[in-house]
Amino acid sequence: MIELFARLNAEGDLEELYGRARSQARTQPDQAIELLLSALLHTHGREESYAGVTQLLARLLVEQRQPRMALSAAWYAGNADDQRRLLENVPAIDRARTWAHWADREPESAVHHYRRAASELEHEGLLARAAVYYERAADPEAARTLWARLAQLLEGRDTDSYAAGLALFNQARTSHQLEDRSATRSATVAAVHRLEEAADRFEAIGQRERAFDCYHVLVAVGRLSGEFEHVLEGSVNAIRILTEDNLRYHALRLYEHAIRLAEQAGEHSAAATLAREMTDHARKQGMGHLARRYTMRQSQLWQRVAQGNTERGGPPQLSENAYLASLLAAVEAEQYGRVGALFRELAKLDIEPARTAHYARAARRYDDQQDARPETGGAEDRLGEHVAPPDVWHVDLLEWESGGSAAEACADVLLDPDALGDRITRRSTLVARLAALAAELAPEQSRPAGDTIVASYLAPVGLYELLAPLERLAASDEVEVRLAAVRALSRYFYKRTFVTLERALTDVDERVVGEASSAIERLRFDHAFDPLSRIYRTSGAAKARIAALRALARIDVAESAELALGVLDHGGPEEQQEMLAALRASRGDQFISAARAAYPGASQRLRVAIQDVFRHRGAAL
Amino acid sequence: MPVPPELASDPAIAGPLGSLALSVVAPRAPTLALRALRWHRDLQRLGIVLPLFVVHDLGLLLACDNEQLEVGPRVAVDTLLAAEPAATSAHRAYNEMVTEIAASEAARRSQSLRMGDDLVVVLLARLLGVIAEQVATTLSDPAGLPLDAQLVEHLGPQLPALFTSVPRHRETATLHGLVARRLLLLTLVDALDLDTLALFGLVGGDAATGAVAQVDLLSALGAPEANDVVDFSLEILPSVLEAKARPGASSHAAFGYAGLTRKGSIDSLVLTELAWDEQEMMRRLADDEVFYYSREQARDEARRIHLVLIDASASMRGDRATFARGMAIASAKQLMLAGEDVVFRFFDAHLYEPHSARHGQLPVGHVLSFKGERGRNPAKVFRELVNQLEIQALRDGRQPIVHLYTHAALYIPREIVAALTRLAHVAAIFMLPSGNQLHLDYLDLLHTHWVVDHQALTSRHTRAQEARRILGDLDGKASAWRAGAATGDGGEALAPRTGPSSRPQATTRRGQV
Repeated sequence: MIELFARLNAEGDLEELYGRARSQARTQPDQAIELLLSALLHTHGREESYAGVTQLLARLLVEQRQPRMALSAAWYAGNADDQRRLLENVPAIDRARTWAHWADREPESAVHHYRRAASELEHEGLLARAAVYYERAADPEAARTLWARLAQLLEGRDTDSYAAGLALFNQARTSHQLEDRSATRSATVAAVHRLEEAADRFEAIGQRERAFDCYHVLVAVGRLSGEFEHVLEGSVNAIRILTEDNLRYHALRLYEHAIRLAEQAGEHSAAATLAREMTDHARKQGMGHLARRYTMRQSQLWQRVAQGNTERGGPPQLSENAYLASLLAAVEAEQYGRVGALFRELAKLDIEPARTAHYARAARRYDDQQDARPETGGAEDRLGEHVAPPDVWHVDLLEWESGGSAAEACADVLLDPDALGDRITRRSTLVARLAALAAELAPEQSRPAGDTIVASYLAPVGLYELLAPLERLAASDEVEVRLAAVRALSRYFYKRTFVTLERALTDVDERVVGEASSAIERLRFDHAFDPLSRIYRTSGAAKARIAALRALARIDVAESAELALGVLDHGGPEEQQEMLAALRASRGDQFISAARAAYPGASQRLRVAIQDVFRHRGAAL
Repeated sequence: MPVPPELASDPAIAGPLGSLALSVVAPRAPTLALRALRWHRDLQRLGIVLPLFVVHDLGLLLACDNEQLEVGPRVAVDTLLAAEPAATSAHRAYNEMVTEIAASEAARRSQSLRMGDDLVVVLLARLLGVIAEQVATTLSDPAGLPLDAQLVEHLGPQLPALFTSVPRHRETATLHGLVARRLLLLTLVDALDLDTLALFGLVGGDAATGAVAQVDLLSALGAPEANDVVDFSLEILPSVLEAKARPGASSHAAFGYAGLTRKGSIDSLVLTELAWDEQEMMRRLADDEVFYYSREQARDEARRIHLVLIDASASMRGDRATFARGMAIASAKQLMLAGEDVVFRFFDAHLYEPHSARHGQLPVGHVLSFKGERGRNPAKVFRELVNQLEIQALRDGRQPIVHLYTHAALYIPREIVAALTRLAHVAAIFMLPSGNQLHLDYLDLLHTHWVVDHQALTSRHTRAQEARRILGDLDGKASAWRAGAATGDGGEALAPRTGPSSRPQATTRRGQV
């Protein structure tokens, strides 16, 4: 069957292929299936025709005794009766997925479907998915047992500390639902140990996006256990990672969210320090409107700290400091009327009389002062709400349990209720799932060829959820498979992609190294600065270093501009020429402003290079 | 003529010195003007570029008594700026602004602190940093102005000539910028936190040890939470400072004799030792049986090293950090007064480099401004600490005592705490547990611990009281360890304690020891 996928081509239009397949369905079912699979490649076709293709394909695949593939087509078509007929001939995982899918569509019988699915998977030893389904079936007791078993299984493995941390957190969550305080406590402590360890390790090896997930879970741990220390730890570090990755809007949204959480927990000082950092961040990013708005928020938060402290009868010095901090923020925002009011508050505090007299005197200076009118109207003012990442304590464990299976990862996407609206991606995923199932059925000697084909079908999907299968394929013993996987990865614009590509740069086969270098050059996005600069600094492959430089030249962030100036000034001749060529063609403003600032103190070599870039881009120095 | 003709035409000399024609503060002693040259140079190193006259005027107002200064124009500025009427009126406004600053509370208090040049630079950087950013004087003075007192002595008559010898667009632009930001500058002056500098005076801060410490202190001055640390430290320090340095027996020559010892120099030999015959005398010398008078005050090398370990993870944000760092400063000072060696270390997911207190000075700037918040990994940090203490035990005979300042969610694996307590005395202070709950499975292993809850911190009277009590307890422990050391048994046994774990209470409490 897998050879069929090697032959597929999208020539002709969807309706024509469908029509031909229908006419051949009875007489030449093999031909019809090939035509229908080719039709599936028309991912932009009309839904009516596409659904028809999948229904006919499902029927023919049943006749060809391919129940898993038939069920996959039926999942897309969405006909429950067709699916039901296939259930007894498919493995437990597919049955369970189908029931879970029905549960999503039929809320009134959701508990029944989920429980059935969970029980089926539990017998198969798929603990994580079974536990998730038990949770959805509102059976925390059964779920907790499975999470505990999984945690125990993972506890001894050093390389799986993240998965162990997640399993333990799930154990803590379900124990909390069961109001078992002691079990909640011990599972929480163990989870925090493993998550802290995992976050530190991920940061050390440059996988900050995975560390981000750990911090996200830590916030959830804090909210579950009521220990705000964990919420702070998770939030502040998650913000740090977003900031370092130049994801400025995400960082600001998370700042807002963390401030709200701190206020809810009565941690006003922590909220005020977060507001101060948020102001600095916005200013550093050149977001003037937001910086001014946050400065005012900062001023208000410090004032709240002072008022709260005074109301509680706290030390007046704390109130004084908080009022002064509020006042300095107000000055920054040119709110001089407010400054006067704050000085008057300071004059009322129970502190040294000399100081209150001083504050009263100072207050008079602002008697006639008005607050500057806050500027509004910038598009950047509308930041929106922070959207928390998905429940990674489920999602990542399911990924871990799937062990990099392309068929399973594709099934997750295909049946994801949130992905129903994205037809094109669903269609690409369906084809990839069918190819992956065909590859699994292939005889041992055809497996490498099958994996190569699967990688090529995974390429157009580009979803984060399919990275794990590509990572597994990129670690294959077969060069062709690695090559196809690395080629596919060039369409996966995630920081995690670089982990596999960096490994590919040390491949024994030159073609894989070349393909990885090409992929690196294509993967240019703002938060790729970190891995790209690491590749430039550390890679032994000259091609890869040059590719990283070319990509860096096209990333419009301040750090990248600084690095470009460094290469122009101190890089080897080839690196300098490549950087020059890339900068001439780039469009970002960051390099222009960084170069202007550096020009007066620049070396002769750097000046010549800067002049060259400016001349080609028509910019004035 | 203070500036010789060959230098008077050099822009590197005439530029900054000539700008003093716009100065409105005249020092009565030329050495004070010399200090201003140094402040100006150091500020440029910190990236704060402003004409000399601004640095000179504000610096003198903050650093010197008013009696040493005369406030008012030093030369006929109207004539010098005759071509620019706007600049003339800006100078008049500048003069008024400086007069206001001279009368400010900040100027009055700062003069009483008698700050060294490094502290003045930090203070000026705090005041002028924002102004310098906003007043676009991008070009700094050319380097090369020597710090020579002769250059500024009796400079007045030469100022007009020096002023007109180079273009003065930068100075006039600065004048306009300053006047436009009058309220900003005056507010910064009024809101200046001088307590941090006072703390330096009390505990012997390290601002004078160079640019890095200056940057630390500058960062501390700009952080509102550092002000809280400082206030809290100042609140509890007087009780610490009441404790006089304990006299100790030593072989060093200082002050009076304290007793007899087996070690010493020939000048403190007990005279009756000379009564022995020559051979017996030599034997006694060889066997260390000879008696010497021991000296008071200067003590032999401490037999303990106190490791003040402060949690710098994000979990400490807000009031926890305030109390932890304030307490750490006060307890370190107390230990130093008792003649103990103190080392500060911060940790988050990493154990950072140690900063020793040297020559009676605490690294206050570092403690106030250190910012970690890069993850949290207590298992790794404390494993590393145990390893380091094991290695240290081989090289350094001093008994390590760990003072841990942290939050209530620091989950160190129990076996690591057990290993740590075998190597060192461990005293832990847990700050403000959320929900006033402290459940850590290793509390019974610690030699002593305290919990500081929200109620204790927010109550005006109990905060300092509780802090003093903890410090008193710590002092008591230190005395016990000292007594143990004096009797030669090295202090309390370092076996893990098996006392009951602390139970959460509504107020600050102390764990069982």
